[in-house]
Amino acid sequence: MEILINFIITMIIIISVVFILAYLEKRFSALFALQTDSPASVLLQDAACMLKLLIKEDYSPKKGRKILYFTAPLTIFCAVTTAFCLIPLGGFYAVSDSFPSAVLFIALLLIPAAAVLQAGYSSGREPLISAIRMTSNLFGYGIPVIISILAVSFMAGSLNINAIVREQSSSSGLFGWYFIPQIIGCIVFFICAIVLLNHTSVNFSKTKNTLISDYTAKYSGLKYLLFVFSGYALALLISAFFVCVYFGGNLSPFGAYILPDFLIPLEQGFWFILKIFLAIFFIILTKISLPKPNHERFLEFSYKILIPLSLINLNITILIRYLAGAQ
Amino acid sequence: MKTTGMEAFEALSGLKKNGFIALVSLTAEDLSPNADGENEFKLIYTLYNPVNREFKEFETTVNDITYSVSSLYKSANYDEREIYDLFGIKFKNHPNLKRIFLDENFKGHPLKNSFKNR
Amino acid sequence: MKNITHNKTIINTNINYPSTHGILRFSAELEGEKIIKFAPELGYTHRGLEKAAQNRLFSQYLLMTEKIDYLADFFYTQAYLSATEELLEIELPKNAQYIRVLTMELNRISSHLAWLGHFMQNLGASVPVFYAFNLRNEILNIFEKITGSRITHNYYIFGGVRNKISNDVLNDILDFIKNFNQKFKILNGVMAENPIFLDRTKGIGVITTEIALPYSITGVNLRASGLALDFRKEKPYLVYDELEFSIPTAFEGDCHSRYKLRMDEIEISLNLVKQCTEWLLANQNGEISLNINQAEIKPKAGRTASWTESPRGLIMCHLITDGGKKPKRLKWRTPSFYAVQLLEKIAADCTLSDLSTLISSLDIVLAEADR
Repeated sequence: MEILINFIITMIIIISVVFILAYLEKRFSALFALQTDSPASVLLQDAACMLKLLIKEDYSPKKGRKILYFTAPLTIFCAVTTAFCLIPLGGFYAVSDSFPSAVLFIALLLIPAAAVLQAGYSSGREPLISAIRMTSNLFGYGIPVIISILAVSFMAGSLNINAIVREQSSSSGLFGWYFIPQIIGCIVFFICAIVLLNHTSVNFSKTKNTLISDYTAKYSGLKYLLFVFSGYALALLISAFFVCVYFGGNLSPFGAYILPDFLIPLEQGFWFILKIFLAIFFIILTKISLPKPNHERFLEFSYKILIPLSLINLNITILIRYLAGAQ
Repeated sequence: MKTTGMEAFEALSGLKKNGFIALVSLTAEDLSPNADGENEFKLIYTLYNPVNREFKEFETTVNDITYSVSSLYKSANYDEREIYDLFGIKFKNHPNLKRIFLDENFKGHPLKNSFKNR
Repeated sequence: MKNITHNKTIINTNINYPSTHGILRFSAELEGEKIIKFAPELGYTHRGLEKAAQNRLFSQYLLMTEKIDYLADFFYTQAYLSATEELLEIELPKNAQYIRVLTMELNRISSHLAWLGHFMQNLGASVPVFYAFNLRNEILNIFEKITGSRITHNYYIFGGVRNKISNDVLNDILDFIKNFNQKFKILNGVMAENPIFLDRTKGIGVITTEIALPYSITGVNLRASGLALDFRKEKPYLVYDELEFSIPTAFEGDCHSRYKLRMDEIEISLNLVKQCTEWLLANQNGEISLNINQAEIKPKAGRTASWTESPRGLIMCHLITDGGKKPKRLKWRTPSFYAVQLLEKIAADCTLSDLSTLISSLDIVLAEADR
């Protein structure tokens, strides 16, 4: 019973956070495109969109592959919501300090790649082509992420996200965070985040010009809503992860917390949310301003440039740690 | 110039050798029924020579079947399909003589004089 | 599905493929990512406009001509009127001619801006669409002041134009020209040097004159291959022989040069608009129409063809009359028809990811291809 209540509360929080993120993304895109629209209408539009998706007719494939078709959106949804419990928000943390949560986090973020393939495979010929492209993109840009996180964990001495955040705290505040010594890794992660955020049609109204049809083409109603929702949740998770690992998570940039002791969780939450907000702002800004390169260029860029860069970063980190004598 | 059938094809290939390498437009007009009660159409070819920037018109009269010039001018492919679709003139040696605008199951050719308006 | 032994796949698109303006269906045979055969299918917007001309009075058909291509409607009306006025043996007053050129060149700019927004969206950049359409909105507002409506105007009549353009509107046009250059620089600068954009458009979809001329390609697509053929100079109509403008050309023939040429054309058209506006401000007291009875148009029997340079290429209007009140045969030679045919050839060598860029760089409007 208690678990059920916890589950419902968590789901409500997650859904409202994602809702706010969807609104923010629309607002930023409109801002950069010089469109002015009243905020109320955008929020109502989003709510109406979600309602509409819930009452649409449910489609199912006639022959074969029914199980793959039905479990694809569920897989993505479960992976993404589970990853939410690994983010430290306001000091509350669901797993213990010795748990390698960074690894689990990345694994949970890459499960959607397999689920995308599943969705495409069960949908038909053109969605399959789109799904293969998306999966190759996700894996190609997931590998530099893994390598950059490894470099950070060498600096912090642990694979636990909470520990990584704690290791960044020092009296010099802003300058103790890992984005300065790990600047290469930070830039690589940022570029990968831009690509990973193109996951599903994160924008309701934009037509997907990648190909003939998206891999979500044969999904309608609630299942499509799960895909879209996971796209937004993934955006939130990746930015939260980015902020935790390179920008000190819920640490204050002044070194010490300003508010008195009993209000510190509130302040931690405030800094965390502010940093996520800024990270999302810059990621969306970069994503919107650039045209999309060719698919082959995407893969070339990741395999020929990003992975070697992140490996160089890793090697430099290991070398410096070894010379400094740390274990 | 008024010629028919194979002579039109040969005249056009002669013009092509003289430099008129672009077929700018291909028009058809329905003149039926002619004096013998048969279908008669007039085809008008507009040609262009890019070297001395000259335009030329070439007319020919056909009955129902004529030779396709798509081997000389690539743009004639779609032009002749359109004329077949709307007028019913058949072109021999055309690589793909199908209807282009109307549905495959449509009966009749709309711009022919004998087409009954519904 | 996939034929594994031969490694080929055949895909059919649904009819609302995003990079075309209108409805084009195609089926393509793929080998991996490369397209081997490409078969487009036209005819989804066929409205029978050539047959309709045979059953309508000349003035009744005038309204239908502007619906052929909704982005460049003044050009089709002008083409139709050119042919009819030649058979009516009338000469337009100078003011009417200048007003017609003014509106046509503004229409050319708005058509190119619509193409630009569309082209950018196909490359994945969603912001330049809004910049381009904001600029286009200003032009449509000017059209509303002149003619009363934004897109299909019903402004040209036999013998001239419907109303005079007042001084206020002419001064508004001059203000618009002054403000345009700065905004256009921003729009151009957004993409022109971007390495992703250059990578996606340079070297893609190369059309040489040897390919273009047998397929009867005209307009920007041909000028990007190196041949400077512009029918405003080749067969001048209205007052184009009195105005000063140049014809830009490029020689690579790829998507990037077509993009660049259309941007250059916007600037040249803007200059033409300026020349016309200044002439109209200096000569305000001319007649704007010959006051012909629009219901009693009876051209003499004969055959003529008019040549007009629209934003997409050459429009020819073949008109065959027999002295009656309705045309005997009216045929439209539209540029997008031949561009779709060219697609069959040049799409056969490109990869699937470049296909969208290629189709949208040719500026195809399906409504005019299907008539």
